[in-house]
Amino acid sequence: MTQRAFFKPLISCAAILTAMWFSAHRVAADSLVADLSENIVAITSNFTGKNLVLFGAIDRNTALSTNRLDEQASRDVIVIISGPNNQTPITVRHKERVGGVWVNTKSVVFDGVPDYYFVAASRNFADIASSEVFRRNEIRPENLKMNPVDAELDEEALNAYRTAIIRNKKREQLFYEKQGGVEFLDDTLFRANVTIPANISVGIYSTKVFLISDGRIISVQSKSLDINKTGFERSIFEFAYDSPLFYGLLAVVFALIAGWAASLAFRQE
Amino acid sequence: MQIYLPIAELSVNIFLLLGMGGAVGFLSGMFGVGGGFLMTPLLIFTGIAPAVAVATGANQIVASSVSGAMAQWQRKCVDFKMGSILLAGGALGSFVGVIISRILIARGQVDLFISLFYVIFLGIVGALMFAESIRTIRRAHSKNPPLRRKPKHHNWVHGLPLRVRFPRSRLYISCIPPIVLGFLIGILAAIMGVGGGFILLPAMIYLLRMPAAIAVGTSLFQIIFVAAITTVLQAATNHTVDFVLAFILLLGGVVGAQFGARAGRRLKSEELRALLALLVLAVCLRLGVDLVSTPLDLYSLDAVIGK
Repeated sequence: MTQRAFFKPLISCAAILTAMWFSAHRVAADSLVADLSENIVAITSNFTGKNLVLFGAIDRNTALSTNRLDEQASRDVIVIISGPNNQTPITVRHKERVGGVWVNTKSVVFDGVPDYYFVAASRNFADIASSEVFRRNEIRPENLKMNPVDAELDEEALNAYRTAIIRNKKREQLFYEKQGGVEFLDDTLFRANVTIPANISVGIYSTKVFLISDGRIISVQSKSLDINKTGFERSIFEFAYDSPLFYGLLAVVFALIAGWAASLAFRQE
Repeated sequence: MQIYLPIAELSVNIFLLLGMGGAVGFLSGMFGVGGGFLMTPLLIFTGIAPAVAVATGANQIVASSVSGAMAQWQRKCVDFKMGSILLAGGALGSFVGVIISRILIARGQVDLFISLFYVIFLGIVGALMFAESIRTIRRAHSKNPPLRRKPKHHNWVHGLPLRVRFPRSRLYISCIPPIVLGFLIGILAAIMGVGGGFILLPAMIYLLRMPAAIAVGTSLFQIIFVAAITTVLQAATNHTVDFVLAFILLLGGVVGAQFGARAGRRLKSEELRALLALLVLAVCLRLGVDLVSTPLDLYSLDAVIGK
């Protein structure tokens, strides 16, 4: 713990210094530098979710010299975190009233639905770029390429399912869409608060930072974020999946002992 | 104080869980039911996935029913012979139940069937038990001499062949009804993730005509095994048993069960049955309302089974 607490500001400082170094040296290939305050999120017994800070810097001069943009040209940053990478299909079920009771009548299996999706932009999305740009880069939940595994429905019905996925995910606090969630501290430095909810799945997540100027993406930076259980929680989780039968038997034996111990403790003389 | 549950993959207040375990354990010890029919809905209400709630509930029931059964055993209130016959049917039933439950899960109908089963069974059991216990209480309070059940009064159950003597229950009946009863309870237990005590108990008292005290002890004895089988099956096939959650629940549960058993001793048997009936009817009503009221969202997301 102390080690992490020590390294956190150190890593942050290093990243910002790197960012400044880049801006000072006008490296044409790198016009954007960004990093998360932590690249590994450890899920421990007191994990209740986490707030990460994504910070970075853009190089205005580089952008000027390479793209010939004037000083007044808009610069926007969009941040996306999604994952985990080992995505599995999900079933979306639709309820209808049958004889007064709500019943799941239809279901569609969808592929390409991230378990978690966070997007933040420095301004209103509509002001930053065209919807075509967003669609191509899977920016904003409605542009995620969520497709049915075996499609038998028309596009209109499928879209009802897609909006339902987004609505459910937002309610479960697994999808976030924050206009203005990226704030500029000055002309070059920016930061965004990223919410990692307690119900997040473990795995490797990908972070993408887009630098957009006058509606065109001029730079993209990708990073990975590792969300993992540690210590006791990890051991239990791995035990349950690696040797499930033994895990089940042990859980029962433990329950038997606990029940027996309690009845002994409360035994009447 | 929040605690992260590694299998349920969310964090919940530890004192809330301890309280839930204690409250359900208290009722379980008092009435001789496992309490699964209360625990599972409570866990789902705190945001735990139904599959994890069902499986982990079963694990916790093992502990609380052992604690309860030991207390009953010390009072010689367990009919091991009857319990074993019920269990033989129960093991067969849970096997059939697992197959049915797998089909229902694949079709997305498992939640509906669980709710429907609960509403139908809790409704019938609760209403019958409430009516009967109120009649008994009224009779006890009136000045008229109580209408004692004639010892020779037999129902159709007692006319079946293959009769076996159950000395502890003071019964001489066919072993077919207990086997069939155990079988049906086994099916329900596997689908609903409960021990089935709330159905088994009234059936033992009213159908098999077992003495109420013996029925409570024997039901608890039987539930230990049904819940244990369910836990192992769920852990092995679905990885849905959360050990940390079960441990916290059973800490509360085992203690609660002991206090419940003591409280139960102070109440008359018919009063106990009236209270249990009210509880059963309350759960039935709650689930019934949920079935017909418009859900928050007509669409729901589900992990694909078998991935």
